Amino acid sequence: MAVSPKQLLEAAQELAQGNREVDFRNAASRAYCAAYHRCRPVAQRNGLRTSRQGVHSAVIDALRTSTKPALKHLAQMLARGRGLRAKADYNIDEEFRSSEVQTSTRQAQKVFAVADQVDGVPRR
Amino acid sequence: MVIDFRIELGFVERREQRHVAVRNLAVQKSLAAMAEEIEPGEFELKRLEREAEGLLKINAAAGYTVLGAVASLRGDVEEVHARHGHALQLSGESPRTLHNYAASLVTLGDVTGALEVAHRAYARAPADADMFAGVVSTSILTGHFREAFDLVGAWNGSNPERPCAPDSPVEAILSAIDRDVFTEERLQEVLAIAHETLRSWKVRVSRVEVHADQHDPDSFLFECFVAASPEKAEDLNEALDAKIRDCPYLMDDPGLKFMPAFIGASVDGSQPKAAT
Repeated sequence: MAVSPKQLLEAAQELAQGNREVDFRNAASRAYCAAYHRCRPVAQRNGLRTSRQGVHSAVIDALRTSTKPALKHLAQMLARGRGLRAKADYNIDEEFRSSEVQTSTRQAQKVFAVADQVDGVPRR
Repeated sequence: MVIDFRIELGFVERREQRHVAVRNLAVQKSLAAMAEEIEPGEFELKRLEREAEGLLKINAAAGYTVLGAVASLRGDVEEVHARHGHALQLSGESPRTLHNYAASLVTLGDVTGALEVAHRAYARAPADADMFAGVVSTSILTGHFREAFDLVGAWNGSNPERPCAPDSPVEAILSAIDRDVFTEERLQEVLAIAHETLRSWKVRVSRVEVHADQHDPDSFLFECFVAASPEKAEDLNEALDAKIRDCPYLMDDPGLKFMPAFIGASVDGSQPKAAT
């Protein structure tokens, strides 16, 4: 793998330290991307189908309909992150605040923590 | 679409001196700024109370309105109703006094009460753009999107010289409802849970934005900017998610097509840097 979800998250966190709105937008976009790539294999390992068209919606939907609360939780955070990412990337005529990027990166961090728990990765 | 809630002391009478109007504006600005603070300082609240007491001699309804607004910042429910009630009595339930009462109820987190009061204000002054904005804002805040849309249509019919542009996220939400993507009742339920979460955590909402997702036009983000640190906003999102997850039907309708997001936007030690 050329780049890992973790590296995407780290890039998002670095961008979030910037002081330009464009940094905040890029950080929110990378944070969601990191969370999405962290969740996709989790969904697949849990036997959820994620391969139909509109892959982002498919992953969120697969996790949402799972019977496991932790997977549903991942779906909720991913959906929120996707909404913020859409605003960051497409609504460029509306202000994107540093408080929004903080929510984006925190959500992504939490996604990683929950995904690690689901995968049984020991907490550091 | 953006919703802001502000106290507007727009009832300075002609006979009042200019410096009073300027002072009223300063009080309004102070109230607006304090509404975004996590814990408004007691020193500043006391200063505003002294201002209000000064106002009582010139315009008693305005004075009691400010006292009501200060009480809302303290989260003192009884005092809010008492002070605004007094202002309403003195003003003969003027639309502006009702409008300000609604703003204080939003600060308290009683958005259902605010909607009812905003309707009363608008009924008394249906040609007043501020009253119109107040009732549309509280309709959206409580998830009454159809009502907001109809109000805009009626306003544009009666005020062709001052048209209100239709709000595209609201129209898109109604389109999704019409196509059975989700139901308006469940959106209201999700927002009621969101407001209840804020209320139980004693956190105020200062601003709301609704966005449609460009990639998936049937997905919406309901951003609630709250007077809380980013950490606390994150805890609020966790608490909200847990309540929605625990509900037997909200994960299906609206599912994740309508996502509230609490955004910590407070002035405190952890204040995020302003975008430049």
